[in-house]
Amino acid sequence: MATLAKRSSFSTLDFLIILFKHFRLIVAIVLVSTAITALLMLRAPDVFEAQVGIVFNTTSNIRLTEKDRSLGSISLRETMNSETEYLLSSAVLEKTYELTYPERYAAMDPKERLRTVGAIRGKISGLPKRNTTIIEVKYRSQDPEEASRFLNNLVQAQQELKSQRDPGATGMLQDKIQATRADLDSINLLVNEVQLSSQVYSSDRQIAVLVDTNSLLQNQQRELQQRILEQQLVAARYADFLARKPDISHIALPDDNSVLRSIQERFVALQDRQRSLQGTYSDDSVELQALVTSLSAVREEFFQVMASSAAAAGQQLQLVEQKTRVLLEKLRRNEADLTRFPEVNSRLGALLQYREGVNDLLRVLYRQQSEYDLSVIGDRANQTLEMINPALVPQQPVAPRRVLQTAIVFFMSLLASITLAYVLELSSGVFETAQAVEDSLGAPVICTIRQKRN
Amino acid sequence: MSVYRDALKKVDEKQAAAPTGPFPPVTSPETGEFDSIDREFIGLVDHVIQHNHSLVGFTTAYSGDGASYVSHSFARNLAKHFGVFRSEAPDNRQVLLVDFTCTDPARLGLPADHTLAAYFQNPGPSLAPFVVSNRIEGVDYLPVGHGPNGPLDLVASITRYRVETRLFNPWEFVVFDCPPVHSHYETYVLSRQLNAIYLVVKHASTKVELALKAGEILQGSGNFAGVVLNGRKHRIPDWLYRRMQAR
Repeated sequence: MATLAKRSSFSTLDFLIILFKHFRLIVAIVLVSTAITALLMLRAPDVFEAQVGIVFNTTSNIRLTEKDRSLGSISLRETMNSETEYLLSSAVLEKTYELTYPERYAAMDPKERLRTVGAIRGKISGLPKRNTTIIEVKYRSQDPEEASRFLNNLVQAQQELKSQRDPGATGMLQDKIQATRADLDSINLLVNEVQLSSQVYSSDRQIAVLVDTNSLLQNQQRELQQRILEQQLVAARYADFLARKPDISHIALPDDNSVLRSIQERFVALQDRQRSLQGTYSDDSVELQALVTSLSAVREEFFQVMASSAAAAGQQLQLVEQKTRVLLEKLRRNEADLTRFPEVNSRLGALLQYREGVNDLLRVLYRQQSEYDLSVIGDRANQTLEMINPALVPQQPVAPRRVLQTAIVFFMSLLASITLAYVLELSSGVFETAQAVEDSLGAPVICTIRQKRN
Repeated sequence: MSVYRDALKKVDEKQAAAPTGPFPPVTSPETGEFDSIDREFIGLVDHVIQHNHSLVGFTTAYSGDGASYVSHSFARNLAKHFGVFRSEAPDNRQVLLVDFTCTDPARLGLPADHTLAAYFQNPGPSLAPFVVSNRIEGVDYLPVGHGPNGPLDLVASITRYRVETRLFNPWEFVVFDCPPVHSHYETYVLSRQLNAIYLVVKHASTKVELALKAGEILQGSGNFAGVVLNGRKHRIPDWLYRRMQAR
C-alpha cells in the first residue's frame, strides 16, 4: 500500500483492504469517542425553552412595502427590527432581571450586573415574524420556571423603562454623569498635584540624576573636609611659630607663602654676612651692630607677616567651613528626597487606580445614557407592546439533543478513523495487493499464497 | 466427490483429445475444473510447465519472507502433479529440490555426507546417491552442505558440472531454494544458470524499497520470471477479494 501514492488510481479493493486491515483501530476510535460523547450527553443538564409572542401596536406612519418611500415613513421591517433590538437591549434585559430577581439584583455591583446581562443575552433570542407586527421571543434556561418568569416580565420591564424615560429620569442620569465627571476632574487635579510636587520622582531617569547628585555632593564634601584639615594644620603651625618665635632660618614654610620665604632668605643672607664679619671686626664695631639691628628688624618683619598670614588662613578656614555647612544641607535635602520617593509613588499609584475605577463607572453611565438615547428614537408615545399570551412553563427539554449529537460524533469519528487508517497505510511502506507488487516491480505476480496459521 | 470425478474425466478427455506438450497443463481455477495440486500453486506450476523451465529458483529480498516454504511446497506440488497426471510410481522421482539454505544437514537429522558439497568433493557419474529421498513426499531433497571455499565455490562447481556431467539430467525439474539476494551474492550468480528465478515477497511485511532493489538485481541476471506473493493475510473475505480482483 506504500505504492498507493505512486499509483495513479485508488481502487475499491485498496479501500476495502484498508478498512479490514485497520478494522480494530476504526472500531476502537468510533466506540470510545461515541461512548464518551454519550456519557457527556447523559451528564449534561436539561435545557428548557419558554416562548412568547409579543404584538407591537403603533399608530405611526409605517409603510408596508419597500417601494413606498413617502416622506416621514419607515418600513415595517425596519420598525420591527429596531423594536426587537430595543426589546433585547441591555437596559430592558437588566430591568427584566431586576423585576425577576429583585434581591439578587440589589446585591450586585455595576460590573456584576453587566456580566449578568451578558449571560442573559446568550440565552435569549428574538425574531420578528415576517409581514406581521409580532415578535417571537425565546428564552433558554435549565430552570423551566425561570424561563417562563423571565419572559413574562420582559414586556413589563419594557413598559416601566418607557415610563421612566421621562425628562426627569434622563435628567437624573445626566446629574449622575456630571457628578461622576466632577469627581473624575477632582481626582485628575489631585493626581496632577502629586505628580507636580514629585516631579523629580516621576521617572527613573530623574531618580538616577538624584543619585548622581548625591554622590557628587558627597565627593565635594570629602574634598572640603580635606581642605579644612589642611587649613587647620597651617593655622596651628603659624600659631605655634608665633608663640615660640624660633630661629627663622630653621622654619619650614608652606610652598605658597612667597613673601615669608623671601624675608627668610634675606634673614639667612644677613646671618651669613654677620658670621663672616665676626672674625674681622669686634662685636661692638659699627658694622656688626648695624647687622644685628637689621637682623632684629627682619625678624620682626617676618613674624608680623606671619601673623597676618595666620589671620588670612583663619579666614580661609571659616570660609571653607561655611561652604561645608551649605553642602551638608544640600546633601541632607537630597537624601530626604530619595527617601520620600517610594511613599509618594505609592500614593500616586493609589490615585491612578481610583481614577481608573471612576472612569469605569463613567463608562457604565455613558452606556446607559446611549441606550436611553436609542430608546427615545421615533415616536414612542404612540407605541406599545402587548403579549399575545403569557409564557407557559415548558414541560419538555429542548436540549441537549442527545441522540442527534451522539450520532453526529459517531459519524465524525468514523470518518476521522478511516482517514487515520488511510494515512497509516500510506506511511507503512509494504505491499498489500498483488496489483501493488506488479505496479512497483514491473513483473507479474505468478501466484498468491495465503498466510498459514501454523 | 462427484465433482472430483467429473473434473478428472474432463481433464482426461481434454488430454486425450489434444495433448499440449510433454506435460499436461494445469487446469485453471476459473474453469471450475479439478486441480490435483494445492489451489494456490496452480498458477506457479502452470507457469513453469508452460514455459518449460526445468531449473527454477526462489529467493527473497531478505530472510523470513518464505522462499523455503514456497520452494518446498512448490516442489511437492510439482511432484504431486506428475503423480496424478502421469500415474507414475512413487519411486520414479521427477523433481529435485536443492536447498541452498541448508548448510548443516545434521541439524535436520539428515546424514552429513548427503550434500551437494560432498558430491563436489568426490564427483562421480551420478548425483543420485547423494540425495535424500524420504524427506519430502515425492521429491528428492539435496541440502547444499558446507563447501571448503564457501557457497560461491559450489555455484561455480554447478556451472562447470551441469553441462559436463549432465548433473541434473535424471530429474525433469530442479528447484533451487536460494538465500536472500541482498545478503548472498551467490544467488545472483546462480540465477544466471537457471531457467527462471522467482522473487518471493511477503504480504504486508516486505519493504517496498528492498523489494525494488532485489527486483533490479534479479533483472540483471536476465532470468527474472516473476513474483510470488507469500503469506497473504485474510484482510477481507476471499470471495470478495476475488470478486474485486476480477473487476
